[in-house]
Amino acid sequence: MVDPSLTTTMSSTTINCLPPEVLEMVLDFLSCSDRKSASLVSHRWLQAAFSSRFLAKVNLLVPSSRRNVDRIQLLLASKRPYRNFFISTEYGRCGPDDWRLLVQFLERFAGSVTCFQSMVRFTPVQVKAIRERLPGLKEICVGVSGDVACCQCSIVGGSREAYLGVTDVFTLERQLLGVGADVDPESLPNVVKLALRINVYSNTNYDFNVLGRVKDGLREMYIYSKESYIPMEYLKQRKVRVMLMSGSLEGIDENIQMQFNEELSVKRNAYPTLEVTLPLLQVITSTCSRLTTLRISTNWLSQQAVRYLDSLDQLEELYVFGDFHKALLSDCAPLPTVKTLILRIEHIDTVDQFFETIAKITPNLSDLRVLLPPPCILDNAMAELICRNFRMLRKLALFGSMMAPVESRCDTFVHFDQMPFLEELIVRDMYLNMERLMPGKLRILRINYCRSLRDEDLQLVPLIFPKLKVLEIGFCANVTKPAVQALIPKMPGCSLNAVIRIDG
Amino acid sequence: MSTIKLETSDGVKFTVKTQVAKCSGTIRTMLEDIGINPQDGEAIPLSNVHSTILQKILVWAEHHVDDPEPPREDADAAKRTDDICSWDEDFLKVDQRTLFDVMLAANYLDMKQLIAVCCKTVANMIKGKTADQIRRTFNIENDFPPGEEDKIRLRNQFCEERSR
Repeated sequence: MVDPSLTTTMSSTTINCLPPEVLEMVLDFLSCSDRKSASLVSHRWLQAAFSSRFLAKVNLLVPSSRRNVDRIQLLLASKRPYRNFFISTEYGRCGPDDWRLLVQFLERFAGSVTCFQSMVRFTPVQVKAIRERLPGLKEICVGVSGDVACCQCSIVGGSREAYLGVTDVFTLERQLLGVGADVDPESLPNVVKLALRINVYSNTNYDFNVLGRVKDGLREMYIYSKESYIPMEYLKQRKVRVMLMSGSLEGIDENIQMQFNEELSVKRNAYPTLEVTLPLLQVITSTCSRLTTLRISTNWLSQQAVRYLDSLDQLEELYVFGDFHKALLSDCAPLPTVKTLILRIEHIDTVDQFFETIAKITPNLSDLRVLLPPPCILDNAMAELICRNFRMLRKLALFGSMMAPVESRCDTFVHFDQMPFLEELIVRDMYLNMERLMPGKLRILRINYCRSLRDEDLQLVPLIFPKLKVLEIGFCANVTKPAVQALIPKMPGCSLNAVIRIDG
Repeated sequence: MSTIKLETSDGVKFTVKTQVAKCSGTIRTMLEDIGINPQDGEAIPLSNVHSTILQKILVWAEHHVDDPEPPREDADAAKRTDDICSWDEDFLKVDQRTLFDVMLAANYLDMKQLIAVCCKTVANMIKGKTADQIRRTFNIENDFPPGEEDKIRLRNQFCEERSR
């Protein structure tokens, strides 16, 4: 007997005569470390050792430290089509520098990656950006920050629907930030979207002088300011359609704030609330009469304010943040053009008749989103009031407060079944009874932080909503990953998006 | 019991039980799908297989003809190489030339179980060795230019077994 491993043979048939697929089959029996040795044997072995079949089974480990430039350049130069992307960094958030580096990797490996994993915490906006950059993504398992409890979570399903929670109201798109230290002056005249900040510590007029160089193509403006004074004369004769005003980055994740501040080279937390006073609102409405979207923060939404808004005869979307006082709202003239209303209620003096009054002001509403940050509490009684007053809605979003103690909420369930036209329903942190949802027209259902939702309720979804196109389940404490994965084959026409706690 | 005839590259004719010959996916396809009639007495030509190798393979097929269908393995599962049965171990105690000839023929004849056991045997010859030891074992020439190996070694660092 001859031990083949000891034979050095000069025969005609050698291991190099094996076709590549057979050599790959041999290497399939090796562990990762043996395979690394095998890859150093020859060019042919290198190719077989890192076949696409193998790459599907291993992680691409992205080094954590951005100080290690050489390794990073080496990795970026690698042409291997890895499918599983794993960031091997220590626990922590993804700050601006890490993010910039990560974007390079994402763009480099976008063509092959189907699974993205990391211990790093990302903001919902970053998760969205990751998903957009990886078109083949099937599974993402990352930490998500910006919520009360930072937790490890996982999104399953082949969905293209980006995951965004309540923060989508505050989404800051980097490309919108047209003004800053390194803005390209050549591109300024043709800017369509522009974000401006007015800082009390800087020369206020600088940014608006910049605005003077932007041509008539400007359609969307984002204004961040502490001051109630805004030199509106620069906006005269323009055809701005969208104006989102905010004095504050409050409510935006710290990380995004950091990026935002870095982008604009200013100090953090320089923005308290921009209060839109009545005279300022008058100037805005008379200067930009073609507005279709307006976001303001005001504590004095009054009869007079609504009258100014009424002069915007193309206004379709209205965001109002602030305190609401019933006395100021009685006998307001209706705003018949408004189709979308987003209310962020900081304070409300009395719930009674409030939604009835709002329903009178916006009689043709089809999309209503109500956000109640703490200390306000969106309990089921209030949700019932909203449903009763806005029966004709096509889209309804109710964002309760994460902080609300359990005992403050009613035991009853909301009757969404009284809304015959409802197509999209988004609820967050509420008690929900699946059987009370209107099955007929509902095509989009997003449920976040609903502790009442259980695995067995989830299995009812394909039966109750056969026409559902988008289903999102986020941070529901009593829903497990296997239950979500079991749903995927049952809902072939539906894009499924789930964020599930793994621990904590 | 029905038999068929096989003719190897060097013109040797073998008379084989049909059941044994059907261990080969290639022959099975010829008989079942293409409709070659073994009763004609005409030999099926196996132009890629030498008689010495076919003889060896037929010994293996004869021994394993009644083996049950192996269970489908999970593609992601770590593959074992320590589960070769002792008969196969003895069967494959041959020189490298014969081993690789058997693998080539088994690949051509599409005999999955035989290929798998050969691959395990070769994998066991690789395990635990450095690149240089592997080259010496199989008499392979190092065709990397100087410095290239270090680059590959660095690039390999980014690759890690998936934890599930």
